[in-house]
Amino acid sequence: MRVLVVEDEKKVAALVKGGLAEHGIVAEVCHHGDEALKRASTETFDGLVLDIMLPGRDGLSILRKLRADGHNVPVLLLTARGDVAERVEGLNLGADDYLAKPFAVTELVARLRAVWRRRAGVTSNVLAYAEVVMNLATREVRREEKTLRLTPREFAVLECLLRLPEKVVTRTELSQQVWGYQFDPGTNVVDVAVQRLRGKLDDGFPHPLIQTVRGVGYLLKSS
Amino acid sequence: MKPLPIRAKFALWSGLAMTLALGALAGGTLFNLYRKQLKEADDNIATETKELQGFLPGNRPEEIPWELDPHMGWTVFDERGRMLRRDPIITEAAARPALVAKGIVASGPWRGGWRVEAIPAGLNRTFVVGYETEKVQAALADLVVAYAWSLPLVVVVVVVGVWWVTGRALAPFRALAEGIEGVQSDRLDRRVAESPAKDEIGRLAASFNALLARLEKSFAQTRRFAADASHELRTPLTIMRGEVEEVLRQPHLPAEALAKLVSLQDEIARLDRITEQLLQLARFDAGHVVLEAKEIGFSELLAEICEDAELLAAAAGVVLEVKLAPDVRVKGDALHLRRLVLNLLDNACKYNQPAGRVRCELKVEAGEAVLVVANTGAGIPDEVRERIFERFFRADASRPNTRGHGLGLALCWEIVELHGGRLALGKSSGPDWTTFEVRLPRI
Repeated sequence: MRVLVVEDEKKVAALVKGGLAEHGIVAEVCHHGDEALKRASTETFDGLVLDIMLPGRDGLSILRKLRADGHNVPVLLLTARGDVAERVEGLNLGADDYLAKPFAVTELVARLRAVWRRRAGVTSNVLAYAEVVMNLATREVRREEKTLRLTPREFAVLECLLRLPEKVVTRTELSQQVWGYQFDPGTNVVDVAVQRLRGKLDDGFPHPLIQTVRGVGYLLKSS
Repeated sequence: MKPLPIRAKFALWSGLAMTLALGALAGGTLFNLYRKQLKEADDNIATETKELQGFLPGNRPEEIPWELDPHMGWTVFDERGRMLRRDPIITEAAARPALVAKGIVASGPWRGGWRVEAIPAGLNRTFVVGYETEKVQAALADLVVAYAWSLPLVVVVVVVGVWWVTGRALAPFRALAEGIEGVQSDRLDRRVAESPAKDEIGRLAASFNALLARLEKSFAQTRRFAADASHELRTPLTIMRGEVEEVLRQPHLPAEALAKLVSLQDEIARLDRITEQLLQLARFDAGHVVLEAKEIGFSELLAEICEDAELLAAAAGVVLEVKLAPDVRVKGDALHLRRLVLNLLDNACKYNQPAGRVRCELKVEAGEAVLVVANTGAGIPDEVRERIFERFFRADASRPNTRGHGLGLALCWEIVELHGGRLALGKSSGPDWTTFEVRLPRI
């Protein structure tokens, strides 16, 4: 997969590039709006990560021009949080999804993959690790043959851990991704939620999957 | 009572002043005329008396042929007071008072009376010469009638004139007031009409417009500040967040570095949330937040939030009691309302006593949806009750390690205001309970 990242902030661009590379996605970076339009119209990419505020042409105008010219490359917009009008305009212009800054790179990867799956007509949206299978579309979770009944928050916590299997996810990351930026539940609440999830996921199985890294966070690992 | 409009006051006062002035004028002229007429009567009597003196020598007084003015009459009395002769127009009763008086006296009734004087005429006879006061009164009556017709007319003309002139003079003020009423806080681009004349009204309109322009500029600046700041702050936050995440994922980090990174990540998240809340408040201040109100099942929304409430309570080690009236619907923005309720519940868990209780109750009172969030614990001291909705105010300044930064309740206040409701710190419902009450209009 080859993606064009259009972002004028060089550090953000580098961060995105590095994060995508970690997940096996090749990213080309471009810092100027006019150059971005030229490259997107002449080269072939599997996706476009497009910031809205850019020198030269802005993101929305690039998107408008591409769609008007019949390019249907998947586009993911990076917007300022809270700017509903901008977001709505982007989606109306034919963006596939948006992500509000500041964002986690893992979320960007997940969104990109979801866009590709939608484009490919794959409706079953599945995350899996070891014996755990999570269907994001039907919201069904199973470990081996046992179906788990998770509350919405427990489901979201497990989803975060499944997106980065065998990597530590910190409590702050869980708090930000599960509860969003509107509300800070505090790390104690994350601990309680993980304990409850653990009770449903690991009870009755010889090998616990959720492991605690003291003072840091949690990870999913089959020992 | 509704105060009178300025023009009515002007008209009434000028009418009253005019009436008083004209009354004084009329009284003065009438009095003067009366005095002048009396003097004329007395002068006539004196003239006739002098003429009489000329006839007296050698004549019997009662036989003097004497022609008098048509308003005058004369009589002759003898030494015993018997009337010997009289003019047909004067009566004995009218003439007799002169016999006992000195000089000219008034006699008879006020109307149809006389001014009379006795004159010794020799041979034990006395003349009495009289002047009819009817003539004096007739002159006065004419004037009174003329005044009665003309003066009220003058007052009416003055009142109407003042009413009209004041109305015209105030018309620009009325237009200005209407113009100002048309300017609302969300329509600061409007201006009131400025008259071309550089008079007081023109200056007032111009300075009001200048004030509007300054206000509009400052509102626009606040709004732009919120937008600019959100962009400028988000980029470094994205970078910090991403880079810390990147480093955290590297294997074999020393424990100390890991602990520092986790703490750094937590602080970045906190900075992110403070930024978000500040910008949200800035948007509220700029009047920039428009409520996208939809019909919301408040009971269902609260039931949904209960999972988080339960987690919050479990983490804080307190007991949560929930009591929700079913099918309570309100008009509002679910995202804002969720934030409001979570903030209140979070506070209730956070500022509780060990093994305390939190009560979350939804009920309907007088057509309003009433959400009560209460908790046990030390409570809020009376002296800071007024200040808890202020920004960055923390009642627990002595407990600096508690999570939170004093913006939560300020934001709650704005959210409730936006929804046309009320948020209040309730009177404690029993000892040691702190109660927050949200009232929202119910559909």
